[in-house]
Amino acid sequence: MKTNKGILVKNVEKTHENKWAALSADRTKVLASSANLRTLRKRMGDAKVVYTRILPVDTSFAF
Amino acid sequence: MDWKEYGYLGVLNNTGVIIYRPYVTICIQSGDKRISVDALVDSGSDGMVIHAGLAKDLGIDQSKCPPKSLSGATGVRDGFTSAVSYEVDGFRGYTIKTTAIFVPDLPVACLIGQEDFFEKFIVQFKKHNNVLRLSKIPKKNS
Repeated sequence: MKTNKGILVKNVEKTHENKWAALSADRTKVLASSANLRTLRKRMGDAKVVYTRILPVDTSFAF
Repeated sequence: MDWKEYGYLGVLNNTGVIIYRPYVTICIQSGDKRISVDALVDSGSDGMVIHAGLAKDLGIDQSKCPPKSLSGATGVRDGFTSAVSYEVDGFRGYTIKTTAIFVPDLPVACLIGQEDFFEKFIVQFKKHNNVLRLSKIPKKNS
């Protein structure tokens, strides 16, 4: 049976693209973003977050 | 066999379609530095590739690391290697040690691939449900 178990990051915006982002622990929200990871980590402090990079939405990827 | 499930991570693209990709959260460690990142599970990657922006925060000095080129679908990138370890969320204590290639312009934070990840886990991609299933490979009987 087809059941979507994916997790949607709900508030990704154009301004987040190609930047580092701190996601909430449940990975449903971007809490903050920055071009510089160190800056972002300082801002987040000891908060329980997951760091990622936000891919541009108008680009396809092959790694 | 004990399986753990991970929902693909989705973002809405500019045409109103949600693109889901198979990421898992890992905790990368180098020395006493640890960072939790989302890693893209990439069966086409020989091994672990990390965005070079993570190196400093992991306490890795690029000037002391051997250079290495990385060839991918979109060209060749110059990078460097360093030993790291990581644990996959949900598999606490199951530490994977590997040599990662760090490249400066990787679009994602991290790729995990054949040598580091697929040799340690049985991996099921269930794209129809946007779910990834992982199970540790059982130890061989001696």
